[in-house]
Formats: sequence, structure tokens, C-alpha cells
Amino acid sequence: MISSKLATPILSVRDLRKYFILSQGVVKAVDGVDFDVNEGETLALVGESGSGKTTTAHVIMGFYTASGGSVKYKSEEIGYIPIEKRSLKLRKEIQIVFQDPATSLNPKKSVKDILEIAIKTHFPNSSRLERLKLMLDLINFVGLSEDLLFKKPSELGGGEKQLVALARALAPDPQLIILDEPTSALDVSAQARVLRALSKVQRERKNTYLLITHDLSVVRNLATKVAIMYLGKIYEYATTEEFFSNPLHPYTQMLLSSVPTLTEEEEKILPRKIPSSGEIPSPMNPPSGCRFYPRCPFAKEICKIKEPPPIVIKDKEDSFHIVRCWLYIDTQKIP
Amino acid sequence: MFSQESDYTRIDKINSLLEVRDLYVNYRSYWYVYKVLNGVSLSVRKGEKVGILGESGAGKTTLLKSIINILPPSGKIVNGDILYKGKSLIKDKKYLNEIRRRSIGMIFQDPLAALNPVFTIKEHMLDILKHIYKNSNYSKSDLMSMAVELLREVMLPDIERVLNSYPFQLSGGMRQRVVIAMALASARELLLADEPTTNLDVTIQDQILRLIDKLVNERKLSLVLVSHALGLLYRMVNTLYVMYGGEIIEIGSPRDILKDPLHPYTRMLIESAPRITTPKVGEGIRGNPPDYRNPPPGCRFYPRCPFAKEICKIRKPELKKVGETHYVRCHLYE
Repeated sequence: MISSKLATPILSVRDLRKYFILSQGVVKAVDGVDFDVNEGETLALVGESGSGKTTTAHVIMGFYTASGGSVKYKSEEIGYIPIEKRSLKLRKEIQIVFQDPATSLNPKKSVKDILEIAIKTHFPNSSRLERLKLMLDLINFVGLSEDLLFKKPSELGGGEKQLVALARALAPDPQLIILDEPTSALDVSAQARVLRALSKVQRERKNTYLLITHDLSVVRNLATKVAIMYLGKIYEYATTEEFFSNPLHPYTQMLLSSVPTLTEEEEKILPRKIPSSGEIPSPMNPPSGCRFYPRCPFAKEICKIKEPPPIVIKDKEDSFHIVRCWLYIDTQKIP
Repeated sequence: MFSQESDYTRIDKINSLLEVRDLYVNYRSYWYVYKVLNGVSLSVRKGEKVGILGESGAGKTTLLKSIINILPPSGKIVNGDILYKGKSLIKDKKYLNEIRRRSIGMIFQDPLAALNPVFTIKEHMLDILKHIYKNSNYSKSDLMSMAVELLREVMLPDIERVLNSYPFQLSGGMRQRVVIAMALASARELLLADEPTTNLDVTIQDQILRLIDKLVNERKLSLVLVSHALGLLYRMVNTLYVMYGGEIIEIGSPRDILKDPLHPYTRMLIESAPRITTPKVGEGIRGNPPDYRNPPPGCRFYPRCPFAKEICKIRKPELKKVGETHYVRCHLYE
């Protein structure tokens, strides 16, 4: 949707499509998605279940190959290379932290063993001492104490498990880390620890994050830009500041209205209240025209018939805002 | 184990609907005993909406399940009492069964786990209604009408289709509405809700909470709502209990708790919550919930508390009244 004016983005996705063909029909999980992520940035892909955000991340990881469009990592097309065919170098550079650390960490292995496998895979010529040193560095870096090394995942709290998963993802020294709902399974007190660790890691290592989440407060804490996904398409795409100060799409406003607020300050941030109504339809049968129209309180005739094009509201060096909605067709800024 | 009189001087004996008095609940495994609930007292008046705020492992679900005694076989109430309208639910099994059918309903956290995957929704509803009305003369079609009415109350569209569906054929939000309908069948007076929105999308969470609020108000129910999210509880309840390590550590109105959190845990919890208003992140709380096999002898929060003193290691603090509606269990306030 928007071409980067800076150096080549580390990740560049254009018209990405992923369709699943089932006996009952075709599930268009991702249906034409465009975004760029520059080195050192964090892009949050926000959406609810059925939005296609996780599928997008999984295509980038290589768990699926794309059905159409392009995924370029450092200008190299990787969308059609499944993970088992990717070079070790590529696999080293793109890592992932999953949502539920209880199922992503091997419960039979100690933390030391879990980290050792990651290190050995990518640094096969390392000595035991070198591996041990790296392990200790990683553990300390994410804010865990060293005596955790000999514990098994079942002996750790949720936050600690997730920090181990993060340490494991950092072991090969990656450039791009996909965070798949990294704090959704955690209690609030553990969430803060993990978010702090994620911020610190990015500040010091300057790696890039692709953050998949439905939690808008995590977006506020971590992301430099935000893309709102609904039924396989991006409906709003903006820098974080711009997004929170001026949320435009009715679905975005519905999302923000649904966040439980505690203070008057928070109430002020949330736009005119759009109470949530309806549910996300099945991606096998998306509505014609704008996919959000059945739930949209502002739907007009044209919304039922034609998909709104991406409309550029703002396009500056450090701040941009694009929205896919017929309400804004007249405010289009021609770049 | 001595009873803590200070805990139930605040209980309003006249309007009291539910009273949990100094409850101790343990779980047994082959090798260990987990001493989870450590003298928990709670009261719910008629029409009162009570929230229990705590993180995982605090014992909130154990507390709720103890009320209608649906603890797993490994769980056991080892001391204390639970009174409903003044009569003991622990000592009187017949009374407990009656209350389960005609007075109290419970909404569970995970609708997929609460619903049996091999039965349709119709079969679920009829099963429950048959049990509730087993001493009455209702025909099957009477019960079906009741089922339809309940599903309508929870605003499910397309009731015919829902009735004939299996749980996996419904969305998460619809499943949770079914679970709420099932709870309503028996909840004439009191509704217990255990994290009713945790696994749902945020826009659906909002709808479900508004639904629960509407039903509680329309049916004039009392409510006990358990959650780890303060934001959620804030708008739904009048009284908030903060739980940690199997104990109630602070009680107050939602306003008390938010504006003037007293217990170090409460303060740190509020401070850690990710905020949408600012990119800054809270500190979090180092450490983990206590190991119930060997819980700290004094205050159970002591190992993680930045203000811990010698006495905290040795003696469990008592619940002290600090404001009109505000109570805290902490040596800092004694």
C-alpha cells in the first residue's frame, strides 16, 4: 500500500493471498495484504479470530506457502519456500515466539537442553563452554535468574516460560522475530515482565518484530505501526501515534470501544462509542463489497457492492495513515 | 486453625444471601497436599454484585467451585463453612442439591470444556431442565419451550439451528451464550461466573459482559464474578475482593481499589496492567504464586513483597478496616 521512503524494508509483503481448499469450499484466510516493515521497527497485525493475522505470520515463517502475491525478506522472495526447504541462514534470521509456552517448550527437557538445541543447530561448531556462556547471557538478558537453567518448563510460571521461549528465539541472533500473541496466555504481572524484556531486546539488539495480537494495549506498548485485519484484508494501516490519536475505520472504533477502561484518561482515548455487534462471518463466505458492512453502523449502499480501495489520509516521513473505507473517499490526499 | 472474627464482623447478617466463613480447601495428589484456600471469608447480600480479582493460581476457581461443591475428587473442604440464606451447604447435602437446582447457576470459563462435544445443544438444555424440574410434571414440550426461551434471553440468533448443533459447530461467542443460558436455568437468585470471557475475542467479550449485566439487572440476581482483569470487574461489580495465594488480601469498592490500592500486591498489579493510554510498561511482579505444598507460614505474599518485614515471615496478618468500605490484610496497616 505504501512504499517506504527509507532504505529497503527488511520485510515487504505485497498482495499476499493464502487460500485453503476444503471439500466445502475455499477459505480465503488471507486475501490481498500489503505492508512493509523496516529494520528495527515493530509492526502489529491486529485482528480477532478469523482475521487472517496468524495465517499471515505462518506464511512468512514458511509453515505455509503463499497462494499468491509476494513476501520479500531483504529483497529475496520467500513466500513460496516452505520452511523445510529454507536455508539454515534464512531460518536463523527469522524466528518465532508462540502464544502458549506450555505447548511450545518441550516439557521433558530442562531449560538448558531447550536452549542448547537452538544454539547447536545454528552454531554447530561451538564448544560446550561457548554454548554455556551464550545460554547464560541469554537467560540474564531476558531477565531470568541462572538457576532456572536446570528446571523443566512445568516448574516455571507462565511469564518465565515465555521468557525462555524468547531466549530460545534469540539464541541464533535473528533479525526478524515474529511474536504470536506473546502475552495473551499470561497474567497481568507476567505480561509486564515479558513486555519489558521485549522492549529491552529491541532497544539493544535493534531487531525487527512482527507482532500478532488482539490486545490493543500491547500494541500501544510495543508497536511503531499498526495494521488492522478483518476477514483476510487490512482495513486500517498507520503509525501507532497516528492510529491512537485518530482511529478512523468503524471496525477499529468498535475494537477500541470494546476495551474495558479504568480511568477517565482511557475513556478520552477511545473514540465515539461504537458498541460491538454481530460476529465475524466465516472466511469461506465473506460478504460482498466491504467485508465489514453487515456489522457496520455507518454502512451505505456502495459498501454492499464495492470493496473500498485503500485511501491515503496521511503520508509523511514519520507518520502515515491509510484506511479502506468509503466514508473517507472525499478526504483522500493525493501523495 | 483459629477463626478470624475480624473477617466476618463486616458481614451483614440480615440481607445475607451467601456467606463463606473461614474456608480452608486442600487438594491431594499421591505424594503431596496442596493447601490452597487458607481461611477465605466472603459475603454476598441480596442484589449485591461481588467481584473476585486475582491471577491464575490464586484460588478463585477453587473458591467458586467450593460454593456449590463441584471440586474435583482431589479437592476437599477441610475447615470452615458456607452458608446460603443462613443454612450450611456443607453440612446439609439435601439443601445443597436443592440450591444447585433452584437457586445458584454457574458460568464456566471455557465453553468448549463446559459443553459435551457429543451432544447437541438441545440435548444439553433438556438434560439440565429435566434435572432441575425432576419433581414437577412438565412434559418434554414444556421443557423445550423453556429451553427456547432461555436461548432467546441470551440473544442467540437462529435458535432452531443452535439447538440442533453440536458445540464445535458454533462460534466461541455463541457457545458462551449457550453456557450462560444453561446457568440461567438454575440461577434464580445467585449467578457465579468464572472468567466468562477469557477465551473470547475482545469485541465479543464486550457483548457477553453487557449480556450478563442485563440479565443480572433484569432478573435481580446477585453476582459473583471472577476475573484477572480489573477493567472488566470495575464496571460490573459493587464490591471487589482481591485474592492472592489462596487468601483474601483486600476488600473494597472498585473505586477504593483503583484509586487507593493498599496492599502491595494490589498496587503492583494495577501498576503492571498494560495501558492503552501510554507506551510505558509497568514493572511486573517478580517471582511466582506460592507453592501450595509448602506455602509461606506468615503472609503468603511475603517472598515477593518489596515492603516485607520480619513479622510478615512469621504471622499471617489480619483483615483490618481502613475505610468505610475498605479492608486490607497486611502488616503495613496494623
